[in-house]
Amino acid sequence: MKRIVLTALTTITGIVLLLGVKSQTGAPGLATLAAPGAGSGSTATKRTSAPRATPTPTATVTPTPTGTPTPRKKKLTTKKKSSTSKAKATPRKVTHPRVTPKPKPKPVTRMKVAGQTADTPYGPVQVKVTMLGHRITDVTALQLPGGNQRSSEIAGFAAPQLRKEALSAQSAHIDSVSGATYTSQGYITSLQSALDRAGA
Amino acid sequence: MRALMVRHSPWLVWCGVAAGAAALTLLWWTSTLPPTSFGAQLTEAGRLTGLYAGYLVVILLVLMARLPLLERQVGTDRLARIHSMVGRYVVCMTVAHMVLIWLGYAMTAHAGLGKELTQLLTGFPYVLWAVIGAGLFVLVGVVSATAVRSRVSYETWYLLHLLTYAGIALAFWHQILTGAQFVPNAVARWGWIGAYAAASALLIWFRLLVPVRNVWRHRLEVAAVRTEAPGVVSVYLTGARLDDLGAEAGQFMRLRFLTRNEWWQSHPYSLSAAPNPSWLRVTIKALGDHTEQLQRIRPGTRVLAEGPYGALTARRRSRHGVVLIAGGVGVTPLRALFESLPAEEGRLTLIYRASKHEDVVFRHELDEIAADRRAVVHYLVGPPGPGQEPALHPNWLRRLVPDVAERDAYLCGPGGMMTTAIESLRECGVPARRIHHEDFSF
Repeated sequence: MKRIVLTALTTITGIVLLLGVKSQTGAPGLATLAAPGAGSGSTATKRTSAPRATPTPTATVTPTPTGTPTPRKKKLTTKKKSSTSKAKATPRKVTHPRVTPKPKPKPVTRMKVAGQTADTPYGPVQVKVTMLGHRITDVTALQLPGGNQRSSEIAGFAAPQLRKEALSAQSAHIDSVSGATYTSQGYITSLQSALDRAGA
Repeated sequence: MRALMVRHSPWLVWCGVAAGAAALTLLWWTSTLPPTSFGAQLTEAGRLTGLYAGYLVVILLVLMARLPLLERQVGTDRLARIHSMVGRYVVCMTVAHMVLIWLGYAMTAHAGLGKELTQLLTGFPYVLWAVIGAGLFVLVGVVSATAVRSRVSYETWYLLHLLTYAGIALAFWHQILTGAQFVPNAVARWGWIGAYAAASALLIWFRLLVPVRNVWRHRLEVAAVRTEAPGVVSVYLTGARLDDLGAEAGQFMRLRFLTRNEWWQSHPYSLSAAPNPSWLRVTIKALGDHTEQLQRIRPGTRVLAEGPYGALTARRRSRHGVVLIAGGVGVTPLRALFESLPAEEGRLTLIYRASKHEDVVFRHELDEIAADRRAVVHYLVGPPGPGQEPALHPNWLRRLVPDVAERDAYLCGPGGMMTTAIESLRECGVPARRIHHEDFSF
């Protein structure tokens, strides 16, 4: 009986100590995130959610019948290609806005820039940032780890939080969401590269 | 108690086990980002407990392989105790792993416990299998617990124990396919697979292939059965190339008698005579259904043997003088040692403790060996007389073996008698490292 108690206490103490020390150490750089020889994690897990690894083309036609400019969908590029055409693997980096016939009150450039894909052990993360001048107006995730239910679950609650943080910080200097460290790291990396590309 | 614990232990083995655990901890350390929330802390604790449980299962598999090296070095009784200790620990670790992962995941995903449980069982490959495997572990753990074990027949216990292998197999796949340390890291993954494969290979080789090979090689069969005492028989086995078995006096074999009712179980029996090229002898006391059946085993019955096992051999001897202390049917390995153990003339003594005269077996043989080797046998039978100390009291030992402190001691018998004898020997000045014993309580 004494031995059982001793063993239990030793084990618990050991694990608590390990975790305690681990929590105090600094986060390793992202270089360590891309584990050697790691696939996207999907090799070993069945996909239970719809794969979200296909980047959406940045140019989407959304004709607004009312003509009132909504802040989010205001891209009036006319695409000649049919919408069923294959999406390119890499989204266009910068779509230059077209000058619309309507007079615009603010001559600020709006652009959407996709960041580079950051690999995490649980799958690739890629974001697209929408800039209005130097302001970040939106961040959308193009790819999130969706290897299994848990990854998508975590990504599902982490992405909105990260977006909110990025919008309020107006930069990629944001805290990672607890419980979704890898996803957060990937998100931050991709966001930073998007901002670099946009010259922000 | 300390005397029971102290026995020459192979440090190399322990260092290997510790090194493996350290390597596993390092793997976790390098592949884990600092947890930043309580949920993440729980998850990481769950991962650690899972890793350790999986690692200890490998150790258990190696223990189950009954490597001749370990059996000789550590001794079977000690290995059995280590096995039951590690086994219980694995069951606890597995349960902790399941609960911690469940809570940790639920907290980090901000999901209810019920929802998260469904998620875990359905959304992750082979986790459901692993949970079933863990259920088998717990079942075996409960049945093996001392309190329950006494109320369960050996057969039930044994067959349930076989389920552990199924449990291990069921639990294995989720480690590879969902383990945070193994999914992204091919080196770790293949290392883990390799460890399990190696342990399984050892198990299959030593527990299955070697015994089967020995069937052809030695063709053991029952040659004769002789009654030694009420409920005690000696079974003589003959076969081919018996010296290739490499058996030594003091060792035991696990024997499986191939009759219609008894073929499925094997039990350890000490060799009750020094091995020779023409026959082996084991002596069996009727203690249960199986040993009862064996009292009437027919000559000609084929026997499947594993072993020899056991570390209670002449190799342990460090002095010229030896005292052997036997209790009841525990005399069997000591009877073989008494015959063949090298000792200085006149400095070999056997003390034989039994509760009734008819329980004394081999009396004739022992007296003959004593006369041949100029050794001494003392029979301490029945309760002590009026005014006498209890048997095996230090005063008895000093009276029977005046130079006991200068000798090696070999013990075999029931647990209570062994404890008494060890304490007495220590009191007479025999250091623990010179007290050699193997108990048959497993």
